[in-house]
Amino acid sequence: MVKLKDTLLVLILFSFGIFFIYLYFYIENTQNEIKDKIIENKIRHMSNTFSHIEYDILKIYKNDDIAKSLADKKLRSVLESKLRILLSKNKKYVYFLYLDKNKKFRFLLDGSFDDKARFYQKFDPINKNIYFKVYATKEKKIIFHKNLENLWITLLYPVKQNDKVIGILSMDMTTSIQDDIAYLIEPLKNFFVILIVFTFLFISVTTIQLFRYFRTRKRLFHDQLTNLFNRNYLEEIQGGLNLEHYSLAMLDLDRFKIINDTYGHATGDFVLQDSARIFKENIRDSDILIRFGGEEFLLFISTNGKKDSALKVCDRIRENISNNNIKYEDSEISMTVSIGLVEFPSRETNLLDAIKKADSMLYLAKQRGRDQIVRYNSNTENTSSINKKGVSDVKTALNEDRVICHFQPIVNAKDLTILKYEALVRITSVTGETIYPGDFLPYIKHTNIHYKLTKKILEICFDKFKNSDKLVSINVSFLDLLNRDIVSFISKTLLEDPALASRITFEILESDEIEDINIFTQKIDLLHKLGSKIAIDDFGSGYSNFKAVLDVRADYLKIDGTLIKEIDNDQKVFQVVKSIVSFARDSGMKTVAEFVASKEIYEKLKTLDIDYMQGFYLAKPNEKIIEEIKI
Amino acid sequence: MKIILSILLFASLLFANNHNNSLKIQILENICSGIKNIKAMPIYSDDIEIQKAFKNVHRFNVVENFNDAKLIILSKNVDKIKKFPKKHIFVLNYDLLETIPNSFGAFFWKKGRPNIVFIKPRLKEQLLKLSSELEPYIEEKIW
Repeated sequence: MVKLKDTLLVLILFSFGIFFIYLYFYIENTQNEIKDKIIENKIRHMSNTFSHIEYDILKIYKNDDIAKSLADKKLRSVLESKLRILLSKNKKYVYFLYLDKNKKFRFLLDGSFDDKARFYQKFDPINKNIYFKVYATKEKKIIFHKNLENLWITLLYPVKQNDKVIGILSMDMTTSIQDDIAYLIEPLKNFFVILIVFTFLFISVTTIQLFRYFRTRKRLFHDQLTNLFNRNYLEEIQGGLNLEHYSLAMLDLDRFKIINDTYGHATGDFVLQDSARIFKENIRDSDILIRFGGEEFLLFISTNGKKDSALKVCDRIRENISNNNIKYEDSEISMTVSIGLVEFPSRETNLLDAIKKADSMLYLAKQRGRDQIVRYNSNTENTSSINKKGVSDVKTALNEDRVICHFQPIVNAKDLTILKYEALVRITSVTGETIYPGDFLPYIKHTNIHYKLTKKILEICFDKFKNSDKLVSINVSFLDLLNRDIVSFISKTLLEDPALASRITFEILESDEIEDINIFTQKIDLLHKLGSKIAIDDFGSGYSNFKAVLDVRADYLKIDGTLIKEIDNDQKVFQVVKSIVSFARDSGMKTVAEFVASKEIYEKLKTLDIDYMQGFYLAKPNEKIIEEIKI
Repeated sequence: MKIILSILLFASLLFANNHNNSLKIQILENICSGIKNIKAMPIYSDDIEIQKAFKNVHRFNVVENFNDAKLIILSKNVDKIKKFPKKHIFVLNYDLLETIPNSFGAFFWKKGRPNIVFIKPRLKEQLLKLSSELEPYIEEKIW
């Protein structure tokens, strides 16, 4: 709005500038008109005077030759003194010319003070033709001099006898009249010149400012890496965006963080740039593509009179990303994209709500195996309990310091003494309610917020246990260990405080995300070197890899809670847990059974010689450290 | 603004002055070229500008010394000229035609216009002949 005013100001100034130019030329035109009027007036005045002189000359004209009539010096002197009366500052020469038989002009009378000609002296006029014309037409003529120094105009007045021209009375005027007019008008003209200069200077400055504004605006609204619009642009346009004309899609590059952490940020940046290029190639001019953050993109797909449906556009993008391997230096990276699509965002409460829905669909697409599009409809919403607390809620909680940890004791199965405490993340809602990880962790799993949350948990735990003799277990994912910031933070803190390092166990979830066992082993080795212990969490669930567990030389094996819950009812489960305990003991690992929720489970586990137990039957997680177990 | 205007005015005056001077040189060149029998004569002028300008005209034989010249272009009266009655004198002032008896012609400004005059008897006496272009400027006598 401010810049609209500036643009209007430029236009107004420009109009003024044009108006001032018009005024300048109008003044110049007026100056010429004044000049013409003065000339006209002077000519009329001179002609009147010349008519009197003519009368005097004709009085002494006796024969056919006026030169002979004026041969008398005394007579000439009288007439010349009459001519002299006409002289003034700007009327320099006044004389009477005669055309002799040889067609030469000669001075017969000269009333001038300066440069006085002799009687009958030859005169070589410039513009001789005009002098002859005076003879021919018998009418007065005016010569405007351009190339003569100090002379401006010459009035040629024919002296006639019996309708025959016998000579020419001539008056030369200097440029002083023109100078006088210019002198009077000049300040006004200068004023307008200054006004015009300053107006256009001001226009230039304002235009430069506007140009800078638009350049800054471009920078402000464009992501420097991909040259797509950024979130600032979304904020800028959301007020005027008619959602009825758009479908909304949330796009996320699958497993991008692994690429970033494995190949480095330069490769990650290139992948983002190239993906953005592919996105752009597959959308229309009327679509709006925004880099929403990290590897997430928001796409407003124009539906206004477009043949392609939003789904077709999304599918085109998905297919092209999938079919184009991205080549960077020596690496060839295959990418996929998951897309959450809200075809009718105008049906949502507002844009933010529509974005949340698209984000939820994106999450479903990820959950269902990635590289696919999930469209929003009422069914998808009902069948999933997603998005209870999304990215923005966790981000807000982090910013407002509402992320806390509860600590649940892990106790010795034999004597119920507390070995250590598992840190369990919670968010305190604005109203003071406790929000459990099941309500937010799944939805932030593939976002930067997940790393920020992990780092926050590490900070809380390191701070709480640095001056304590108690031990703590902290959950970290494989993806967390690929994050340079987190690894750097852990290394720095634990290198500075080896005692703290020795009291920490990192619980790592064994999952399908561990694609490269070598990298996983390297990360675990690092934690070992720092002096910390390693626990493999949820062992026994779908992806359990006995070889991998042996390779990383874990200290603890935490048996999956879904098995423990069923141990008192299902004999097969009992046998599985028994095998895991046997495998752990043979491999030098301690076993931990979690989800010990009842006396029955507790008693059953005791028969298996499990080393440690954890669960609600023994102690619930608490913000405060529980010192003693009371069953 | 005033300073700029003053500079412009001064420059235009200089230009105007230069314009008159160059016109004078050009007319004199034409006059000298139009006098048939003095084309190859050594020329001298007491006007430094004419002297300088004529040196650049290849067809003129400009000399530095008054004595070596046969055609002299005079802007003012010089007493010693009377000692050299055989030299051809062209003057730059109408009145000098009277003062210097062997001056055969004059170029001068009259009422702000360039004027040329040749005196017929003196041309005849000095055996000088003019091109047809210069003939209209011949006068029978000094008026």
